[in-house]
Amino acid sequence: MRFLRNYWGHLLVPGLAFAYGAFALWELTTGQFREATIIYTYVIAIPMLILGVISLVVDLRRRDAATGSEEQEAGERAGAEEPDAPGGARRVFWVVAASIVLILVLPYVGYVIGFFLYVLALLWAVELRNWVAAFIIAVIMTAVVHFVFAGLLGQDLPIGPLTFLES
Amino acid sequence: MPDALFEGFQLFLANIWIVPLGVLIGMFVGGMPGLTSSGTLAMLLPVLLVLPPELGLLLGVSIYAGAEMGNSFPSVMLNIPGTAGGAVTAFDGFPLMKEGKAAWALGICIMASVVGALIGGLASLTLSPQIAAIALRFGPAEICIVILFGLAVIAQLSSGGLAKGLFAGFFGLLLATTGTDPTFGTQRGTFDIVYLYDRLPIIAVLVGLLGFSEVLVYVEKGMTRLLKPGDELPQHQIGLSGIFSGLKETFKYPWELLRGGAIGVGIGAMPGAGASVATFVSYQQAVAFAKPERKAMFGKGAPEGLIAADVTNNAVVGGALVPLLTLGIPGSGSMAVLLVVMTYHGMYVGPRLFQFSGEIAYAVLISQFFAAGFILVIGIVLAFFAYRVALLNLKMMVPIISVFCLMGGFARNNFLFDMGVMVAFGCLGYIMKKFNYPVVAMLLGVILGRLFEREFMRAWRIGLDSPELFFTSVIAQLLWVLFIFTFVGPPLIRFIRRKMKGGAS
Repeated sequence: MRFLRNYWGHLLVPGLAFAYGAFALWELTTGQFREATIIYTYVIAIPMLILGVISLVVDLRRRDAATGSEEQEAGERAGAEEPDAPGGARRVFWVVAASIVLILVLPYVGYVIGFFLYVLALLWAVELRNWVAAFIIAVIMTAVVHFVFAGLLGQDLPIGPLTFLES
Repeated sequence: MPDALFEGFQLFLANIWIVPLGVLIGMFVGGMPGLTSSGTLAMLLPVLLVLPPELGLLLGVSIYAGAEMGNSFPSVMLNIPGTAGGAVTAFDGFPLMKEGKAAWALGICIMASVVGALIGGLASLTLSPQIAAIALRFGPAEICIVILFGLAVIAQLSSGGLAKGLFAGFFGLLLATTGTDPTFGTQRGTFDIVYLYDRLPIIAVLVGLLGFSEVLVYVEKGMTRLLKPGDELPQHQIGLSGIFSGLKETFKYPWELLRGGAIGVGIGAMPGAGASVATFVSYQQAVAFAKPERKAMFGKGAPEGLIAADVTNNAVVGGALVPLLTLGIPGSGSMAVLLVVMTYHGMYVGPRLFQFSGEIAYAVLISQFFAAGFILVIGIVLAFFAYRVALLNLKMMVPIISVFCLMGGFARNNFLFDMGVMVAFGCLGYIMKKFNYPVVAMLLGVILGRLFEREFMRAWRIGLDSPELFFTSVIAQLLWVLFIFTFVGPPLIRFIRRKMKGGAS
């Protein structure tokens, strides 16, 4: 558990790849597929799994080797180039959550209401507290989606309760 | 031929007005994430059919050319490539934008696109029969080797270490197998989700991995400006002077221009390969032949990378016209729409096109040179306004980029599911960036994986389940030699030069 708590971030990408790789191999092995398809997938999945383990081991050893001031240097090598502003993870969570909620409610509220509220939510998430500016940006972006994507380019966006947009 | 060429030129001059219109539409479409020139041409098909054939074809080719340049704008400014081919522009364009050199980068993109269009035009006008003859000798095995050139970028551009780069690349290749098997038609990795039956939505994946992940990075860091306080830029890299400086900068890399142009024409002429393969191969070549001290700059804002991507993107247009006009074979989706226009108007499609409708064919080929001119003018005007995005407050940019990312994911198939895929890959890209996994390598695997599998399986089946086909033809053998030379050649040449210098001193 302690291992997972300390290294969860480093485990995420290889973990995802391993899970998908395992699923792909399991599906091919248990399903009815041609031999060529199975071989092709194995040829890709096996090196991926091996390289994933190597990357993970290198990453963890690098992290373990880093202590005190060295840890900061290693952190920089591992991608954290700049120290994050406080509340960064929370802001990321809200942006992702707002995006997922938008996708889920879009069929019901329609793109006009949906994108308007989405832009407001994002501006709130990034801590822009000038509500007049936020309102203007939300109106402009909704108008862009309406006139450019739905109007000019004919994208088939869900209109929700605003049925008059159908024409 | 001279008569037909002269008549073609006259015909073109009579209809020249359609070219700037087409370039403008194309640049607009190319600038919209998720929209492709082939999709737009298909949408405009009723208009193209109503117009006289010469006008319809000129409009179609101009839109295609404009779109190939237009997709550089969102790639550079927002890290949201409009097409798979535009993704390579983002590799070096967006880092330059983050350094505040957006105007300069756009200037390079514009001039590289113009040069690419001119090379494509010149090659298709003068060497069409020869190019077509060679291109058609490229079977699945040869195309497979060409794609390998593109995939080799993974090994050359692994900022987080070779193992991580290869791992991300193989992960991308595995993800590319999602959907219906291109050879046998069975479904894999779809989790029984109907939206994945075809394949993973590529545009949504690349918009997520590049664009949305970047938004999350900004949000996490709480950045308000791209440039840090105290950062000062040389005057020649911003504003109109920045654009013109970028235009001039392009000519400092003549080899990249020529090589990228040649690759664009060659791969553009191969049916089924297209701009995405061409730009990746061109980029790989630029990396392979770069000096060691410059090699490290690729992916961090190297002008050579930007030039390699954009010159190739536009040279592909000329290349794609070659099999269409000489043999009646459409090499891409856009060309297929133009083929429909040609057949609808009863034009002879095939080798005798130049005999029966030579003036129209030449008018189309000549139009590429003028399209290049209009790309330059319209591109500079658009860049003059576009580069200012870099100066905006990032807090305001976050929702704007996010909306474009969501619409970019949605636009291709009009599925809300694709928006979800975009967000999921945005999160994955964000985590990858945080832990130093090269996103570009995964992207490459996802984009080229499908094509590679299709061509590999075709070659495998043609060879009766034997790899022999990959080594028997002269072209395949030549490509293998070139492939090995790409890795061994540059260090070998440098070693010999060093030895010779040592000997001389």
